[in-house]
Amino acid sequence: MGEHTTLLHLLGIDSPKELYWFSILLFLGTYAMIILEKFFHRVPAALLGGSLAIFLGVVTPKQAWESVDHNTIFLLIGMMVIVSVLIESGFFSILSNWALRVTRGDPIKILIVFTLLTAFLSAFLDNVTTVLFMVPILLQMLVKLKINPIPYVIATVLASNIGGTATLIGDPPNIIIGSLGKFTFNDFIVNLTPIVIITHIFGTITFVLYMKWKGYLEKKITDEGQLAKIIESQKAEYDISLMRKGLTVFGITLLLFFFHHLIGLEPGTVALTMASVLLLWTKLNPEKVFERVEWGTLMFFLGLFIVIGGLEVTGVFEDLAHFVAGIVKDALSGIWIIGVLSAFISGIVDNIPFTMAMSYVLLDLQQTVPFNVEPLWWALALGACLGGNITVIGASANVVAAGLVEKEGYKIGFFDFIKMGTPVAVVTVFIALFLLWLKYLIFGV
Amino acid sequence: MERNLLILFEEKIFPETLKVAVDIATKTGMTLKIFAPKLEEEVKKHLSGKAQFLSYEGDPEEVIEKENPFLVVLPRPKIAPIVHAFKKPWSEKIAEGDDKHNYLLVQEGAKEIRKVLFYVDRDISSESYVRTVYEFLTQWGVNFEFTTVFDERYFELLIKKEHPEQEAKELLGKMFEDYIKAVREKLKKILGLEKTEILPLKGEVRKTLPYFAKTHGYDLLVLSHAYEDKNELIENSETSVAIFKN
Repeated sequence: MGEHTTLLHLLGIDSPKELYWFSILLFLGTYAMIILEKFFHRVPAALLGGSLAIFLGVVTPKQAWESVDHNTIFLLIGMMVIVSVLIESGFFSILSNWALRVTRGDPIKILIVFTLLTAFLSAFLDNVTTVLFMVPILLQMLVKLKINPIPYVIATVLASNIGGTATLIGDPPNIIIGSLGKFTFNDFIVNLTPIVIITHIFGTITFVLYMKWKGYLEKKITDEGQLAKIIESQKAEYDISLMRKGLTVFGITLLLFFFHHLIGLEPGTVALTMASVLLLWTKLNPEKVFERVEWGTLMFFLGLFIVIGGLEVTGVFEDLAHFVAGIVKDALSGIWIIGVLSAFISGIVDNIPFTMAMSYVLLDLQQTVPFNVEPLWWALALGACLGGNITVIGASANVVAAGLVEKEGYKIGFFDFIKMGTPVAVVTVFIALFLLWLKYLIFGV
Repeated sequence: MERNLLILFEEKIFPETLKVAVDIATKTGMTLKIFAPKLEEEVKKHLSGKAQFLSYEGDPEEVIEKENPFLVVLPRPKIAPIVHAFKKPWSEKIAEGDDKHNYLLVQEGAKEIRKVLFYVDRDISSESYVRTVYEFLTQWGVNFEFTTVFDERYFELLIKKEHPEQEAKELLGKMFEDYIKAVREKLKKILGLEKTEILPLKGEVRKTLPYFAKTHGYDLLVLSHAYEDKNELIENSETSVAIFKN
């Protein structure tokens, strides 16, 4: 087998320092293409960035493959298959009709009910799973009410990222922090859950105010008679046998998610296995089921993981993390430095590799500094999870939601998301860090 | 030979089921036998005309086997679909597990049965099934329409892979027309009718048919025990369902 030769190697510009700068350039270039959505679709943009990283030699094919977070990809494929079967069974149509009856088509009720439920579910489920579950219901319902679903979908995603911050299993950065920092499920409940509950209230107020200001909360169908007619006329086409199988597998999957850290299985492995079981059990045509899988989203992740892997392999993340560590002088100021920086970086890049790099820095730090670094771990968790709300590519759930609405003929633009996500992220990060800081100020570090 | 109409209740009496059974017995001349455990007085309150009341203990399946009626009428309680996924009504279990008798599951809340959808397919529906149901519905005096479902999904993926979009569309259209023509010919041959109107539907039988019946105001969906999707059609149907021997 021939050795892998790269373009930069052939040109003789492949020293570690040069590769370091190439990885940054590639990242910036890819990011620019994603932002310039009028000219480029984000999927080929990310794929080009990822393949160029290999082509130029910033990463080897093996490193590229290793930089892809298999857990995320497996989780996405598995849950998309399970959700696809549930959609086919009519389950979401039934839930959407039910939600329509409960909220009576009132936009504010829809917003509050969906964001609250999403935040709660996200605390115990992966955010991607929650979004895959909630967004189809929301879309179906809002289309019936002739309401633009985009702001509501964004609010739901924001809520999922906030809710996911509350527990050890709610968001991948927390799983990493729990694992490397040796924190238990209860540590997260004690240190983060109360903060996240208060933060969620402020987050909700922020996006409700924003949506009210923009006029997104106005009823499109004002005639009560017409509305009642729409609600009463809702009938779902469903298949109970398929629903039984889908819900059984979905239930077992959730159960395994709850205990995955005890049985030592990654959520991705659980989801992929259960999806395969479901396909075999239902005897559905897999090609038909796969039509609903967001292949574009998966390709986007694949490309982005490789581009970010380049930053990791060449040591950019390490430098960044050490830079942060260098300016942290004590635990209380460290809460703000680590928290704000983590939020900012998590809004731009995927928070998984950054949290990983930062966790190793904190592990180093607790051996060398004279103060307790535990507050910094919580600041990292809050910053990395809540910062994901800044941009559409800040968290996996955001990208998944963008893919879901695109399939229905809508689009979440990069700047559409920023307009709503950034204010919410700023408010929630500030409130969360302030509460954390206050807690340690009152009770001591 | 005298034909019997059997109606069975588990515990609760469903007046609408009783009313439908009485209506059938009156119009078709069948003898009505009502079986209900320890609820004689309750049943009699809802009765008018001639009927035999018989109490039973033990398995309803044994009663059906022993009486061997032409038609078994059972009540079907109304359950939310998500609950239905994990809780199958007693009457559905009986009808699904026995293909030797004809069943009529009357949906709770069904006021009367006037409009009926009679499902016939090209390959499975037998001559005996089509003739028996046709004669029964005619005797009963309800309005009925034939329907058939063309499941294009089986061919769609394959054809779309091998043909350009427009060509695939035309091919599927032709297959659909051929299918409907074959069902029409089949009915013409069995019933000897000059002209037969069929409601042609497209989609997955188990979902399309119950949904069509529900959204187009049908009171009853008639199918055969031999259909591959029999159990799913029963489960997915929110209207009353009749299942006849093939």
